[in-house]
Amino acid sequence: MNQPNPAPEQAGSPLESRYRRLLRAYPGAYQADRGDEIVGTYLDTIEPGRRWPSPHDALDLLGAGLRERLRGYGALGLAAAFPLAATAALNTLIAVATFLLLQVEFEDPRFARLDPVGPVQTLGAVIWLGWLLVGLTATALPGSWTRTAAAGGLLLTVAVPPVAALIGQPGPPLFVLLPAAALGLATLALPSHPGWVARSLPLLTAGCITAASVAFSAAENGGNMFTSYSSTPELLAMAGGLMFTLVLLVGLGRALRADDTGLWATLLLATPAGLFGADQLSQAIWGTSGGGPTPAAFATTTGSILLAGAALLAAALAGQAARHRTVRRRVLDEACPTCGHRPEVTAEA
Amino acid sequence: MATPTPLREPTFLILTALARESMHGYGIISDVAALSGGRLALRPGTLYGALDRLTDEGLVERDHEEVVEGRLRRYYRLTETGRSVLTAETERLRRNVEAASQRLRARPAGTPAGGTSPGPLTLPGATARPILRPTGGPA
Repeated sequence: MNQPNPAPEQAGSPLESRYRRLLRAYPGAYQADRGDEIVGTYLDTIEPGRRWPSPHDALDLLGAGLRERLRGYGALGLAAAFPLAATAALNTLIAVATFLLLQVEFEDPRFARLDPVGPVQTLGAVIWLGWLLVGLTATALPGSWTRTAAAGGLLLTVAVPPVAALIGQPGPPLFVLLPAAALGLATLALPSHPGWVARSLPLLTAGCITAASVAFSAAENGGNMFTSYSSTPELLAMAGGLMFTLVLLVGLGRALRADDTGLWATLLLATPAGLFGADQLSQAIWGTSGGGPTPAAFATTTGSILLAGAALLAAALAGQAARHRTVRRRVLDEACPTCGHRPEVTAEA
Repeated sequence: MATPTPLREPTFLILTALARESMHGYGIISDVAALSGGRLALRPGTLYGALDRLTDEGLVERDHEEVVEGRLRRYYRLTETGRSVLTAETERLRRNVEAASQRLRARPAGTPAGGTSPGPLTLPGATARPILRPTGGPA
């Protein structure tokens, strides 16, 4: 069933050039070998009259190009790690959102000395309710819908603070927003076909945190340990550490079965986990000013965490690529003990 | 590299598309869409990534190339290993379908279509009051 080309007029068109530009996501050698074939197939599949690649086509090419690059490094486990990291990120967001809604946003605003926004302390409640909605979507709807909902959650996370500033309403502080935005970015890779564990986790997480929150309120007997965002940095740092530890344990468990996906997911989540502790780390290094770190100290610490996270990932990729090259060279150097045949050397992808 | 089994649906359908004759990328995409009743729409980036993986695993190989109206068309075919893997997977699925069909045919006459659940668990001699109830609420 090899159909004729339905849109021959597209050859050499601006559309073809635009698809070729997207091919830059692939390694150079792969572009040279497969570029004409991939672009030709795209031009075969599109409807007549199209002038630009669709967003889905662009994502498909960029994702496939990234996977091909990782294949060249022998690090396909990193591509496979994104859905696992996304699932862990979503459930951490749900835990944080549930806790902050119950223990901060719905607390008496007089504790925080804020002018309340209706029944809540800040407009941050919109962000946390948004992530709870994403969790509900992950439980009940197909994976593609959940990714769209997660994009909405991320949009809320980055859009609410400037909107709050613009209309003069209080918003959540940066030490909560930055890790939430980093985790939100990770949720864009949620799996298309989540299993029953991934579907059950959001409700389970929200239920456990609600129960813990209620138990905590009952135990403090009318106390006010968590009353505003300024009382939560230690707990957020612990949440980041707990997320990192749990994913690391899953990664070590999988590594015992020769599956490095979980360890790559741990590396991906190292940066958001570190951002949860940025406020505490700033205070530990630079001292406090008015109950928290200075904006300059916080910015320096955050920038350092981002750089360290990127460097860690780059170092792991470089190490894996070097190991892959060594193994490949050894395989190519070894001749068959029976016939003396050596494998053919193919172009490195 | 070992092929993970059972095969994922896109992999199964790509191998199925190539079972009859060698095909180029657009042909495979069209055939997979037809085989899945339009449910599975592979995009070229995803397809060529899958073909690379299947080539590495020895299930698929390049056949021949041609240039049609200025576009390169590269054809792919199943290898003998690919044919064996597809045959084994088809046999596995056939046995599953057969087992499910037998169970469905064996349903006793008069059983409600909604299922064969025995209903709430009851104590002997106390049939009026179920111990476990299907939904929550006060006892």
